[in-house]
Amino acid sequence: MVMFSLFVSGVVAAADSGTISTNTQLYQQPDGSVSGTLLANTLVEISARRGGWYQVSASGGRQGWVRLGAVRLSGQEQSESVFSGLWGWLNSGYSVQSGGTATAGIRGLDAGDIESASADHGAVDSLNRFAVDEQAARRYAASLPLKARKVADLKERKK
Amino acid sequence: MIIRAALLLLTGILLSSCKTIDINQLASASGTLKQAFVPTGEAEESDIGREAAAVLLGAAPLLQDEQVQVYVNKVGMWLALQSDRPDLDWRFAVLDDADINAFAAPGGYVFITKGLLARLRNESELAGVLAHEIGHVVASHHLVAIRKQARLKLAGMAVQLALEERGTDTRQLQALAGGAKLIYSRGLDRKDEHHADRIGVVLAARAGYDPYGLVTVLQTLERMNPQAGELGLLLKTHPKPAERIDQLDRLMARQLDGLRNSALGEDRFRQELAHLSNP
Repeated sequence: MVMFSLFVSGVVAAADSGTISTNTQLYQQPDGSVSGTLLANTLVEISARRGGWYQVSASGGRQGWVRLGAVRLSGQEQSESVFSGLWGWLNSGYSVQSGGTATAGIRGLDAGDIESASADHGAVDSLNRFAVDEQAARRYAASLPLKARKVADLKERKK
Repeated sequence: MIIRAALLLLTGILLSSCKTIDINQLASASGTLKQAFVPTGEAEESDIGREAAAVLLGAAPLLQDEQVQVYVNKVGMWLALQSDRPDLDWRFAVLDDADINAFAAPGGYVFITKGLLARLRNESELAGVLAHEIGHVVASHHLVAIRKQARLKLAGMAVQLALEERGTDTRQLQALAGGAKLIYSRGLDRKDEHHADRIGVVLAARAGYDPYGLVTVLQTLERMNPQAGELGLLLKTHPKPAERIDQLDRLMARQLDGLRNSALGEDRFRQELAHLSNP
């Protein structure tokens, strides 16, 4: 029914690149010792991510790890999405049948669509048929496997 | 009863003082109306949420794909179970819309557009998005905002309402729907978005996912052309992705980096959506 294709793996697409957004420290390992500084606007190639860290290489052979938030990914996304085959479809005049009504898939949801919307209570009721109960959710999580763990709330930094 | 009394009071004011309306008296009656019309109890949250969800589903249809819909419900429910409100009637759904966005409505409704789903790379990213929306629900962000807007609308409508004999329920639903439309088209307070970000990454972490899923989604959005049409409403209603990334990264570096064995769920994400590949 819908066209999706071209699965590509990787947390960060191979040969992904970015720019250092602000002067940042370069580490030998995540949370390891500091090996240098990368200045703002330095171009980097990203080879891996570990938690909140990107492994990067910059000009001059400098390599190491920087905080994820210090890198602005550059360029248009290429084939990193599992749905990369969808781009054409998303931007085409493809239309889908929904509740017997042909709905154009070209233009997206904007403020005007919301302001002029007629409340569809029938559609809300139809959500029930997709709902899952707690036990089903737990079984599905366990099958990945996912295991619940205790994590404290993030505290907002005082300014 | 309170509603009727307030309406009668307003009507009385209008009929008995056609030439010199007492503004203070009117305001007082209007205040009573405001309190009376909009549900305030927790038991009413689902009614407000149902109306808000109906507005969203009136603007964008559901994606007609049961497997994908059930998949997001399984992931979403597991995340919701890690929240302070595991017992809500959580409902997750994919909207058949090419734009990049996600929405929450009071009572446990969470929506993600097909356009955003199409740009995710693994289940931890899906979890990050859904958990951000769950954060809005558990923090009652939309509930408070929609209720406030509905009250303002009802107050503005008070005089007209007093002169009309339309059903109270109809007026209330109109006001709630109007409030929801305003909030979804203009956005919440920006601090609510940052708050939902903080809740979201924690819920994802509690659920066993890589907590950076939401952050990498934001990086995907950040690298897109901000002039791209599909980001229009999201960028209009949310802080800039770069600002959200910076805030989260600073907090997460100190508090979430010690987690081990976090899952990305890349293979499962792929498998669950594989049937959507080219026929």
